[in-house]
Amino acid sequence: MSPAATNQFGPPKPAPAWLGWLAFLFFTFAQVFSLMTSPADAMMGHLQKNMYVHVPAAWVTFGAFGVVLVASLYFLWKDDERADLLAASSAEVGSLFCGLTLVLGMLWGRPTWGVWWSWDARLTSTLVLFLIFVGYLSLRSFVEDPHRRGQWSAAVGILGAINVPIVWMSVQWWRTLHQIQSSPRGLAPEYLRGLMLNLAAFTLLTVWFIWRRYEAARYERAAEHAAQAAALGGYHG
Amino acid sequence: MASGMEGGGVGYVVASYVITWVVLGVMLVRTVGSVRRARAEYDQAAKGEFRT
Repeated sequence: MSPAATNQFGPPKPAPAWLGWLAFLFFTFAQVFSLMTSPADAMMGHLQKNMYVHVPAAWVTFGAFGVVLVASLYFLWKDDERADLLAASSAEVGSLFCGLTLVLGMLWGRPTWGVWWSWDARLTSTLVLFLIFVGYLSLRSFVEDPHRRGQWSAAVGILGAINVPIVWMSVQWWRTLHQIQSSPRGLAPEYLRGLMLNLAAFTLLTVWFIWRRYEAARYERAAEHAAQAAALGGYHG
Repeated sequence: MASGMEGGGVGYVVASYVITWVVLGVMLVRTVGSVRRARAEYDQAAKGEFRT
């Protein structure tokens, strides 16, 4: 049996209930606050409010794929299956936010640029990032051996996460349609408050989602271990 | 940018927020559901283990 397949672990430490409540209440507050207090921009009008969902979604996408990178490297180093499960949980959440980032960007691009999509460097590299992690999740679904699944998906996860700095720098390296990265220094305080609040709220939500997905993955593996142990006990008994 | 976009921009903003909330809501329900199912599976498997 492969080393990781022999990893035995019990049920996970559940995410505290208060964290979920805090995350969703804070998110609701941040969304309402930014919608109510942010004035219409002189150039973009109310379309500017797209920033409070699009930018935080992109931010947590990068964060989630950063977790995939660290957890995948740790799995390859220590052969600890828990790191593989954490990477997978983070990849699921990150992929969802990456898809959301793309859709929200299109909803901003259509009225601003006049097109839903352009093969701009930022948009294209983000789409590539999304497709890599969709591939990562597909790969996990058809490899049964936990050790092999962990190794293969760690390799794809690391390659995918390497794409994150490319996405980030794409607007500097290739000056195309997408504007360069937003800087807090370039934002008026009435817009900055809403953006920072939503960045914090999305981050908290993402932490909670990853924790709960990881919890589910740990229960699934612990159930498999328990079932294997029961089968072996029955056989030897 | 054309100021005439302001009126049209509202529809895109509404769509952005509705999509975000729906996606997060569905994700919340699916996540909580997956934890409950996995935990129930584990409890059942653990009972089976202890019976043998």
